Amino acid sequence: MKAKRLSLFTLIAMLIVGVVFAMSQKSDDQTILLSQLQSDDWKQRASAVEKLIASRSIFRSAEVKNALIDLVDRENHVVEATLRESNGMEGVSVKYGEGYSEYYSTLLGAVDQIADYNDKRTLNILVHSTYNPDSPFAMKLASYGEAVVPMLLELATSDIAPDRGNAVGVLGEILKVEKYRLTRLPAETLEQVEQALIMGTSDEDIGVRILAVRSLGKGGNKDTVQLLERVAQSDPAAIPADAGKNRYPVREEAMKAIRLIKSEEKRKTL
Amino acid sequence: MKALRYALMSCLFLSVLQSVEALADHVYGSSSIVNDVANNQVKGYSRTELDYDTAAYYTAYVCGELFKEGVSQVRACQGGFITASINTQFTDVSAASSVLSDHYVDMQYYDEGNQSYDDYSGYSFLPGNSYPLDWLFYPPFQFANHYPVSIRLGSTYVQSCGNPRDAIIAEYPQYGVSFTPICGDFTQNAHSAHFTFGELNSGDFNWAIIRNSLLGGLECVRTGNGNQPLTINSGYRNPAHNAAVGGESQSRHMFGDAADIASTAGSWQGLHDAGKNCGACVEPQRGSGPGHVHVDWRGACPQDW
Repeated sequence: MKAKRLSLFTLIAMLIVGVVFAMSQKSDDQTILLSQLQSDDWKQRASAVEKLIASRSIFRSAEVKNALIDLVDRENHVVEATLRESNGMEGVSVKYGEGYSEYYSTLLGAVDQIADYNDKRTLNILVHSTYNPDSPFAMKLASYGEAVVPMLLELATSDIAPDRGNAVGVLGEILKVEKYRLTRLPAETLEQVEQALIMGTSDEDIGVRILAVRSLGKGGNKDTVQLLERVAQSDPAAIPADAGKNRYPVREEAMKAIRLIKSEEKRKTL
Repeated sequence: MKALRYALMSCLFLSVLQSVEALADHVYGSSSIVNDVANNQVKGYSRTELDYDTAAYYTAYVCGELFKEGVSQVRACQGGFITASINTQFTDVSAASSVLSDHYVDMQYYDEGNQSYDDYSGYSFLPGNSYPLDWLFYPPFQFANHYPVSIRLGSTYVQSCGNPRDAIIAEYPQYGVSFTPICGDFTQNAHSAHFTFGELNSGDFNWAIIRNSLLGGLECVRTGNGNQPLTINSGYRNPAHNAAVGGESQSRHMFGDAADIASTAGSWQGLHDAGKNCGACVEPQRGSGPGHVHVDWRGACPQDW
């Protein structure tokens, strides 16, 4: 009887030691990976991110979540610095290889799963990240409406053209949602958004102008038609087309936007 | 006392196990292809090999059939003591080839007056049963008395795309790519109305993977960009080439559905829009810079693309 009790005690003790050992092992792994996130070598950071994502048990811990959000912030600065160094001509996938771009997407995708978008700092980091303004990620940002507008207005004044493009693209999406009365932005905010888009139509970068004009088409009203008509007649961007003629992509986009606004106005009156 | 009893029983069990193991036999079957580039010969090898114990009662037998582009070129059979092997060949190393080998054991025929072979040890491959190759064979403990008979154990198969496709395929696992192509994935002439094979292939070989989604997609992007010429900065890359240019370890360029494009007759945004309208995944400009547009038709795009 005594021997039986002794062996039971031994078993429980071994179990406890095992659990403690496993927990300390997990915490060791987490510590190593979190320190690897600080590496100067982006491949090391990418490898740590992959391992953290794969380890479901530690991926959702608060410490890992904060570390990954901080990492997005850091990578955002790397992307910005790369563009600035080359005067906007070279992106990270040129400087570090396309692997960096895929790593960045993986990181952003992971953070998207665990981030609290209602946290101002997190939202601001995500607004300043790398994305296409027509991507599902951008649509998600747009869905945060009033909270995200000040950050986008600030982004719209960036010296980096793709940032300005992202800002006017997402602002247009917000305006579209507002137009269909799915949200209610204060009149002053709405005015600021429209002003940012109007500014965008005369941006020095052709891509930003295209996106600003497109955004006005999505979210604009009959008052903006006059401005768009001016753009449709005078935007200088020309690219060679067939038979020695030129194409005017911003003007074409402005005409599309005017057609869209007019057709929607017409539908409203029916 | 109890422990002693357990130990004795264990010893007994182990000794029984040992005696069963001693009756286990092996038969090995293999097929292989060697591309003799110097002589432009494709050589097929088929082989059945028995272990020494099995060979005491059976002879090995093998039939090998060599195919060129799926069409049988030659079939030949050969028997032998312990090992049976047969070589086949045809000319043209650039062709896809395959070898199908059938492996048999033939019961040895002893003419001892009664025209039969008595298997006193109880080893017996029985016709109609299936026997895994390269695996332990536990013969039934039964007294066998058979007339000479050939027993088919199974077949082995190997294929080769012909040089240099085999070399490209070998690079995929070597570089840790999550996909391994087959012979039929490669082409030497895929092209579309405006893009030549040479433009689409950025690899080191004159073979490449060019998916139809890429061909159709690029034509669609060209049309969407005002029918203006597109420059392909990078198309298909074999894994070694991809690594040499700093490509991502799972780059879509190795899957044959990606291209880096540029156009003097269009803006980055214009190419991006055309790509998106044609169902492509497009890398954000903030990552790529304005110099080129990466498009691919992988299906599910990253959510920020």
